[in-house]
Amino acid sequence: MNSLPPQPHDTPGDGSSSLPSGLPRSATDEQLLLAHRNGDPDAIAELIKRYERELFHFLVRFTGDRAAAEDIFQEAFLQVHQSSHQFDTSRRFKPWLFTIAANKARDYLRSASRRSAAPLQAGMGGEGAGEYIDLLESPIDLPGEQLSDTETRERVRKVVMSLPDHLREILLLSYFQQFPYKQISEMLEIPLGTVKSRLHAAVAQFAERWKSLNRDAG
Amino acid sequence: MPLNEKDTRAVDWLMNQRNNPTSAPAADSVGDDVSFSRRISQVNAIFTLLELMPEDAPPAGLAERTLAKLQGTASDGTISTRPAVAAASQPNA
Repeated sequence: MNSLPPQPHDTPGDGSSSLPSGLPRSATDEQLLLAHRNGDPDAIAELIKRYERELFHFLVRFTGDRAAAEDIFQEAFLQVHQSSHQFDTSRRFKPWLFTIAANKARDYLRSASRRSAAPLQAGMGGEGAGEYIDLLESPIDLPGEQLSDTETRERVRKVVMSLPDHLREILLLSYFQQFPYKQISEMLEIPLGTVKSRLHAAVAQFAERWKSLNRDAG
Repeated sequence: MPLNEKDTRAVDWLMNQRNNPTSAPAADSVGDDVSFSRRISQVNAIFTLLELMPEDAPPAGLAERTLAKLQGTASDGTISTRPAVAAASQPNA
C-alpha cells in the first residue's frame, strides 16, 4: 500500500529544490508516480499540485459545474492512487490522468442527464451529414477593441458550454489541452477519423452559434 | 452543419501548427492558395475567440482537500482491502 504524507505538507514552490523525501522537484510526472508507487510519501502531493489548475480548468469547462469539477478532480486522483501499480511508467502520466478525469466527467454528465440542444446529437450520423458550412461565405467578426471585455469572454464561455458534450470534450482536449489527435483517439478509444470529425463539428458549431449570439445581441 | 472539406483542412493545418510546432509544415507551405489562406484566417479568428474563454481558478485548498481524501481512504483501509478500481486504458505517449 502506498503511504501518504501527513497534513499539512510542503507545497511546490516553497523555494526548495527537492521534496521532503529527497526527490527533486524537477522529477518528471512519471518519476513521481513511480516514487509514489514505491512509497514516497510526498510524490502524489506534488502531482496533485502540478495539475491542480490545469485539470480543474478542464473539468469546469467540460462539466460546467465547479462543485462537480472539484469532486471529479478528487476522484480522479483517488483512482490514480488506487491504480498507480497498473501504470506503465514508460508512457506519459498526463494523458492517463486526463483519460481518467474525462471518463469520470462523462459519467457525471450522463448521470446528470444533461441534454444538449445540438442538432448534431440528434443523429449519430450527423457529424458528417447534411449541408456544409463555408467559413468564407459567412466570416467570423471579431469584437475589435472590446475583444477582452468581460462580456465578450462570457459570450465565448456561453457558446463553448452550449456545444454538445462530445464535441466540447474534443475541443477542450485538442485545442485547450493541446493533445494531438492520435493521443485523443487513444485516450477516448475512438477512431482517429472520429476525433477529427468531432473537432471539425465543434469548430463549425462554435462559429455558427457565435454568429447567431452576436446577431441576437445586436 | 459540418465544415466543408477546405475548412476542415484549414482546421487540421492550424491544429498541427499549434500542437506539433516542431513537426508542422512551415507557414509558407500554404503557398499561393489565397482561398486557403483566407480560410486559415477565418479559423484563426475562431481560435482567437477561444483564447478568451475565461479560466476558473481552482477553489482554495483543492490540493489539500484532495490529499486529505486520499489519506482518509487510505486510513480506513479501503485501498488495501478492496480490489483496485479498473484503471483507464493507458494511451501511448
